[in-house]
Amino acid sequence: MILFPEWFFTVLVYGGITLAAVSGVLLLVLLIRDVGGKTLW
Amino acid sequence: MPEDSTVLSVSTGYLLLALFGVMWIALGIFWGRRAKSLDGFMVAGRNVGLALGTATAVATWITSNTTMLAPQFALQLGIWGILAYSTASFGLFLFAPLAKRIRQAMPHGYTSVEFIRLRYGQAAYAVFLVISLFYGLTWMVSMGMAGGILLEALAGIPYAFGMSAILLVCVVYTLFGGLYAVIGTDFIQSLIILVGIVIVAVAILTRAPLTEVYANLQANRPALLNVLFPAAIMAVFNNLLFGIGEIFHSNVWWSRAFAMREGVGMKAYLMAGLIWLPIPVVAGFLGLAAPTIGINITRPDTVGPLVAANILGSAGGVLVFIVVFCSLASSIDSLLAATSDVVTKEIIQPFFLPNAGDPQIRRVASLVIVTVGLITWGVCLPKVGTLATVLFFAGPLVGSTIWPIIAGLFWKRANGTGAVLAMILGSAIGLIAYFQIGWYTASLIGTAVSFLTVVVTTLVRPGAFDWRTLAVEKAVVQA
Repeated sequence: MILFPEWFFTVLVYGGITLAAVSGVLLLVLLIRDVGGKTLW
Repeated sequence: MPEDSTVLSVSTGYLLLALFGVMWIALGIFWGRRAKSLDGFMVAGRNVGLALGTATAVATWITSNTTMLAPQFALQLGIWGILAYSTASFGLFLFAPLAKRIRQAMPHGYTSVEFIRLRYGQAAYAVFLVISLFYGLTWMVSMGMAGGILLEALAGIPYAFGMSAILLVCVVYTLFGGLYAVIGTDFIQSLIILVGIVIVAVAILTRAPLTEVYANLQANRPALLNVLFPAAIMAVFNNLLFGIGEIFHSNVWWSRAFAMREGVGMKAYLMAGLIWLPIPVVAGFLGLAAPTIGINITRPDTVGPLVAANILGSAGGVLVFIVVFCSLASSIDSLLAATSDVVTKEIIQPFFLPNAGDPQIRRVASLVIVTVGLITWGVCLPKVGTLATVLFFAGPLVGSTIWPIIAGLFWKRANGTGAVLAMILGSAIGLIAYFQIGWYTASLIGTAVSFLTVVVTTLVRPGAFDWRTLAVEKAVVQA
């Protein structure tokens, strides 16, 4: 049986958590930009 | 369920339910002040910007199934299960160019069913309408059931009460605010979900480091790390196509394409795909970490929330409760609004109120939201079937719509007969595969049959569609 290597598992999980955290910040930045530019709605 | 087996006390559960219920309703009423006109109520004034456009796509696609089924996928199919679930983000990525095309081609459009009717005619309209309504109700039922099951598992709130409360809250704020309320609450809900899931994942890593989780899986469940796991690899393609089919055909996504300002749709859907991508990865990790933490799994579909609550105690229970409530609300509200639009604009207006003005249609849409909510409640109440069964039954049906929609938007030679045949044959053969082979092949086969049918019928009998037909204002079906 060929197994996924541990490094792949590590990259997958840490990458996922990092991307999720960055995404939250990105949404806030977009919100500030749209509110400032009066382009929210 | 006895209270000592839950992670939150019943009183905390009721308190959270009341707090968030009141908050969503209050916000719905606040944003609903904008939703006076029909365009405001159904497509949020067609001027939604990038921040809200992106967040609403993310929040809507993070369903309770993401938080409940992704860990279950991981626990049953291993790393391939996580990868399979995350491929659902491709639906958002691939819908991006379609959103741009839809907004340009149908500047006055309201629904995906309207597109099929104008593009392919009445027969295709009828088939597509059945698939759309079946899928919409299936999705809502699966989430209503999930809500009831989760509130019962986490806080001991009786299933019928929890399910009813979630549906009631969503119906009320969608009723007041239409798509404005849906999109506004989606932004807050997406942020809460992202923050919540990151906190839970980091907390689990402190208790179960990745090296330990990997070693445990290697020793006790090596199949979950198997690179060559045939059923799981099939699930990747099936889930990918199921996700694409869900997004391409559903009015939930079309109504957002209509609602976003010109030039916003493509960017919003691309960013939404990127933001959504890590959610099932992180949620799936909860499932894989469960054996290392030593949790006794009696119900695979609640493994994720139970792992989080086990690690973080009462605070984890509260966090999971809030995240799940947001996941449910952000999708149920969207489905209520989108399904109501379809029923109002594509069934009631043409067949029963052909001369009604926008104010009357706006009122009818409100009544339809209540009716759809009641129907969903009635189906959810008996608590029939497992979550996965309910969800994947719709897979081949929506998969069969992918190619009629792509061809309909970009290939003027695609014709109505081909679209009808593609949807019927794709759905029928996909459902046969579902029962004869397995759920993980149904969307794959349904989509493949649909693709071949569209290509062959178009080449044999090419049409010559006039794109200007789609841009017509206030087009209604001829009863």
